[in-house]
Amino acid sequence: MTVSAIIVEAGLAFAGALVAMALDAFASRRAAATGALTGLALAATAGVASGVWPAITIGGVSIAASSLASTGAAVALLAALAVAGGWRRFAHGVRGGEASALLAVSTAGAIATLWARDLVTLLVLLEVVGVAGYALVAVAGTAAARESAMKYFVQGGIATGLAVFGLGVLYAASGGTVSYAGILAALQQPAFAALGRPLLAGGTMVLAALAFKVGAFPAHSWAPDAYETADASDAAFLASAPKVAAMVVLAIFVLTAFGRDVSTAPRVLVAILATGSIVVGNFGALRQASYRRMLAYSGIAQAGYALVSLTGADRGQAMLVFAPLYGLAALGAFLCAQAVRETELAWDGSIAGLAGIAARRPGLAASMSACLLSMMGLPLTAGFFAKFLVFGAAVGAGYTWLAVVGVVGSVVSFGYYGRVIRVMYLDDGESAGEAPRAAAGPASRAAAVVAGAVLTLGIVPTFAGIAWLMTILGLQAR
Amino acid sequence: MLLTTLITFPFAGALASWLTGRWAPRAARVVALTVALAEAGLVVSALLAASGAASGSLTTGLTGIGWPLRLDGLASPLVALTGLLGIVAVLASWRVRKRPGAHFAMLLALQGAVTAVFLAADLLLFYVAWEAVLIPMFFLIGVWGHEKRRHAAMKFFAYTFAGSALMLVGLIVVITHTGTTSIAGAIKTGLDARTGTLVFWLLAAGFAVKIPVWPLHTWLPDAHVEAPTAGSIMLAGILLKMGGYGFIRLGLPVAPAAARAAAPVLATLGIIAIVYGALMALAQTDLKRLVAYSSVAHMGFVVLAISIGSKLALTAAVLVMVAHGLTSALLFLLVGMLHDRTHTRDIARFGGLLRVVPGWGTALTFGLLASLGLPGLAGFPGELVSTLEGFRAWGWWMAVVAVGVVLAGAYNLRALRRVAHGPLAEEWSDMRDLDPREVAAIVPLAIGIVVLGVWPGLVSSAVAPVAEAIAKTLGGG
Repeated sequence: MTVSAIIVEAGLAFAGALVAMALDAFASRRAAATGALTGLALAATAGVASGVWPAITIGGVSIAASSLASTGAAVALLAALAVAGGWRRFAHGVRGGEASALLAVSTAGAIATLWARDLVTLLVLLEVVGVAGYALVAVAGTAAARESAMKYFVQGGIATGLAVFGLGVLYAASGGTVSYAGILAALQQPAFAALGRPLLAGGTMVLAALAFKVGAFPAHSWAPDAYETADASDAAFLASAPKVAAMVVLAIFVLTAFGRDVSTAPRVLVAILATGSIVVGNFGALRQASYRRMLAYSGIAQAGYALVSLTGADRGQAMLVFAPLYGLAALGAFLCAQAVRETELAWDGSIAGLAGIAARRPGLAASMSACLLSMMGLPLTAGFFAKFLVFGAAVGAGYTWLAVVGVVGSVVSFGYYGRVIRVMYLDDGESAGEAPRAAAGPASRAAAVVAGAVLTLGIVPTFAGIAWLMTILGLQAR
Repeated sequence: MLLTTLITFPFAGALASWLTGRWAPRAARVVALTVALAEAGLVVSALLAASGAASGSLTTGLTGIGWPLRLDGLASPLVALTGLLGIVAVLASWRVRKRPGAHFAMLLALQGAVTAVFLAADLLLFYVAWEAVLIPMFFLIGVWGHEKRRHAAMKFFAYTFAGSALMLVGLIVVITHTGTTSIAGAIKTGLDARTGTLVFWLLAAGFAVKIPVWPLHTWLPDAHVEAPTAGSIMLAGILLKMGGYGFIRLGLPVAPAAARAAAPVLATLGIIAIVYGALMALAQTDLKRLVAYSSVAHMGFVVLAISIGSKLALTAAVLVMVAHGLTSALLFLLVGMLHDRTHTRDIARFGGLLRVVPGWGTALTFGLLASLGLPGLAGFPGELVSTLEGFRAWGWWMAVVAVGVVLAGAYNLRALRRVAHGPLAEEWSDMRDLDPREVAAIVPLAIGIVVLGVWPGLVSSAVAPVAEAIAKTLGGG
């Protein structure tokens, strides 16, 4: 019997969720968080192991290696880091046990979506991720959080409805198949001229639903509310792990089912969504006063960059690099927000409120800067190579204008990422000792680990070549 | 190995200086000076090794994975300039009080990054180094600058990042079309006409902001004026040269046809910059702003020379860059010293300083004369050859440049008269003259200005072979 490495990862994460649920009910929050963390860490380890030793056999069950297993491992790792960084929230906070269980369920679902090769499986798994996500926003318990969870849920419902409708159209137009391969085969048939329109219409609907999941334009408006009102630790998770999986799933769908190489429509559609996301995200982020809201809008722009890669001539390679590296930086940036909140008790969540952090907490300011610069795509951070490959993919396919849109977006992004750095380092905060403070906690340490990874993945490939980065990410170097 | 050390050593020094600064703030400057001096020694030995080599250049790691670096005749003068100004910048900021360890760390990191730009033989490394320059400079301006430092730092970063982001797309197009990241390889493979035009303008966006070409220059006066003295020295002395170097190293040879087509545009922008920079300098009441605008004018000669693209013109472009590097560093240094003593840069408040501080006044006279292009000093040969070659290529348009040259005389002499001569400004009558440290910072620059003035062959003989090869690809002689 052969089992995909992805399923092993998802299974371990799900086991972590079940253990967390049980321990939350019968033991303590701390035990529940430990259970979830263990499951996620095991899932990540299993993913890495399957990449290092392909075709392991345990008790007669051989585990099939898959290049997507590395993405699954990245998702599990990000989730584990989110739990470790949010330890105060998950192990001690209000409803922390439930939150850690929900987080693990969402992770398990997200990893499993990587394995889906037919639309029914995909939609069911996406719902698992989505429902856990809605609950994770609502579990913060404030009125604002409940409201944004509702908004997230309603928009998610519309997206699901659209996807189911698209599924139906595809099922009918392709002659009774829901598998990616079957849909692609239908698109490639000579009769495509007659069936092409319904197939493209159905595909577009599914694409729109997936665009909602990655927080891309035009279904992006849930993200700023959700990321701002959810608990900071939960937001750190929501903005990273499930998004990484959703980006890659989107790539799989566009590459294998939507017939990107059969007709030009998918590429054009993706380019439009990418442009919209980059414009809306970047200009939206410029106007934000709240740090997390700014990050949420910047996440919309980042989803746009991810979409840019799908115009590329490569087989999704750029996306497989971009998604985890984005997830890493986003996780770090949100963890920093959590770290500031843990130590600067008077922080109101605004960017202006970060003034003088560099003097009081130099390590934290450095971590935050590294993550933000990485999302900006500056060299010597991981984000540079991510963007380099994405824009390279677009240029290679003749979409140079889209790459120009992308870099102009990056320049605009300096307006808001740079503002945070300016406030931290160049503006003088109120004199030390006035505001109530607490000692640095796990979020600071986790953020430092993430920032270290961001810099390592940015500096080493500069000298060792991009091939090194590909190897680290479990991808074959081209 | 030697070339790798040229880059890694300043970064290691930056770390050492930062760590030292945490425990003994005053010791950081000693560490920084030692590192800068040792780096200069390394530069000299690398230059000797390169000139001793049969090819006239040093290369490293050009095969396989590693640092692809090259020190050739084009990079040599600029690397040498960087080594020299590194020392001057440390001396200029000797008395910095605010977090000296971090300050010197930023200076040394900046030096390492700029050196990497000049040595890079790989497109990706070139871009990485290009952007790595931004971060230390951002903090130098933003943390240690004057009153409006935050605004100036943000503006500096935003402008140059906008330019370099477009440059990145250009580099990506080069890489995808030629299938190599090696600069030499990409030039050898070449691009088709349409792609070449696209690439040239994308790259030019990055270089033009850095030089800076009018009308993209507006970040420069703010950044130069608000930066601390050491920052202004590095910014005017070296960072502006990255733009000119980029054109010669990459822009012209990688897309020669497009560069030829763009020549009239570049020439026009260069000529405008020469006149506009001079006019603006003439109108300034702030001495530091005057020097900043004179940079726009001098770099206009570089753009003009690049637009001509002949062997002589490209050689002259490098000569102007080195000369301006030395001259502007000297002037910013002197203005910084004046500001340290008087806390003002308002030209109207000075007068007769040559009598009060003869040492400083003499140095200022020397610097301003070098800036106006006095024969025998550094500025003269390069700007003369640029203009002569300009006559050959663009004919009587050079009459406009002549106006710019006259204006250069006017603003420099006006500044000299108002500050050093004329009635004595009583409020500064007890100002102290140069101390040995300040003399030590001035003297190497002055020597460099004289040497380059009387013996331009020192630089041009190294640059000429490279310039000739590039001029050939452009179809000129």
